[in-house]
Amino acid sequence: MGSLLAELDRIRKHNGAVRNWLEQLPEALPSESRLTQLAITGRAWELRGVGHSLEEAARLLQALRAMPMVAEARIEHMRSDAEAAREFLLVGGFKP
Amino acid sequence: MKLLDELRNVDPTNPGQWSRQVSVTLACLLFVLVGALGLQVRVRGSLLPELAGAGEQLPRLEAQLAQARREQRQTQSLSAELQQLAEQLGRTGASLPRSRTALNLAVSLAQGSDGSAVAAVRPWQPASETSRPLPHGGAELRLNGGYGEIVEAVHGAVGTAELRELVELSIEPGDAADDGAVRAEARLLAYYANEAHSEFFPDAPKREPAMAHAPPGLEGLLSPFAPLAGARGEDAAAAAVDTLDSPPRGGIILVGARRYRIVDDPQGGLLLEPEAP
Repeated sequence: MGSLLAELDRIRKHNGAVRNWLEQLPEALPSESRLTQLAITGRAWELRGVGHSLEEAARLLQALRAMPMVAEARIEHMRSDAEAAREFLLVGGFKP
Repeated sequence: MKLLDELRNVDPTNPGQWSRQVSVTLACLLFVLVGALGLQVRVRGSLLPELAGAGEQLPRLEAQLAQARREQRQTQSLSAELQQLAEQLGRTGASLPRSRTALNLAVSLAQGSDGSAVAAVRPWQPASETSRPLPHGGAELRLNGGYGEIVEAVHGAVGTAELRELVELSIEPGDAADDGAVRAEARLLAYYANEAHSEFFPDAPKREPAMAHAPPGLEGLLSPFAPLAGARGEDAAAAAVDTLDSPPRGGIILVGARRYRIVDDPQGGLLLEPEAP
């Protein structure tokens, strides 16, 4: 039964962390950026988006790292195009 | 003294002249002597060996007794711990259904999602099965709506008293990219009790609460998928109106390629009605 309680605790924490993260995400996103895809698989998350400058991705990364439920966050990919908006891909994970 | 005098003067060669008192006394003495002799034979023949065997068994029995006492103390300790855990479990308010198939879960979710952003529900099994401590069934939700509605619907599905885990979630902008609407797919696992756990959980309600556990107020959540400033045109409003007729919401389950609508059974259960093509 102890393992059941631990599992129950793990699942509720995970669900709560995902929920809080999803709720805080719009505020963390710089106003000049928007997401094009959000994916969560288990404890890992992935954010694709575009913005007017690469600094916005860096600001988003900083805001994500400051979230209490986020264990890690990093820039996986960035692409700058002179004409189009800058694309970014951030990946990270939730705390266990 | 008279009896002793008679015994001293008794003539052993002439028992016929013995007084009645002497005869009875001698008979009693003879009986006691024979009884004592018999008892002696029995004690030496069987009781003493039995006693010796019992003496040899005594240390082993004492060890067994000590072991039994230790086990009793452990059992009492475990019972107290179990009671404490059961109380903790009760305080969580969790309930686990006895058993539930993925199809039952999908039907239940479809029933409870009526009126939410959930457009369709189907049974789902994880592609790579990892070891999980409890039996489980999976369901996949397809959702359409505003970002806040999606978040609310997903967490309404997993935030019930039953133990459910959000395993995968993907959100993308909707087809009409300018209106901020998004489409999402969520996959969740619902756990149910195995035999060892079932006694600690009450029977789960048969009907899915209508996403009632999601706190209200998320509909107005800003969408991180909203178009960039300056990209929103007049066409966006028209596109938003068009999407009002987007896929039907709630009460739909996909089984294979067929769509079913979940309707109430007059007998209080659920019915799957195939949707007209």
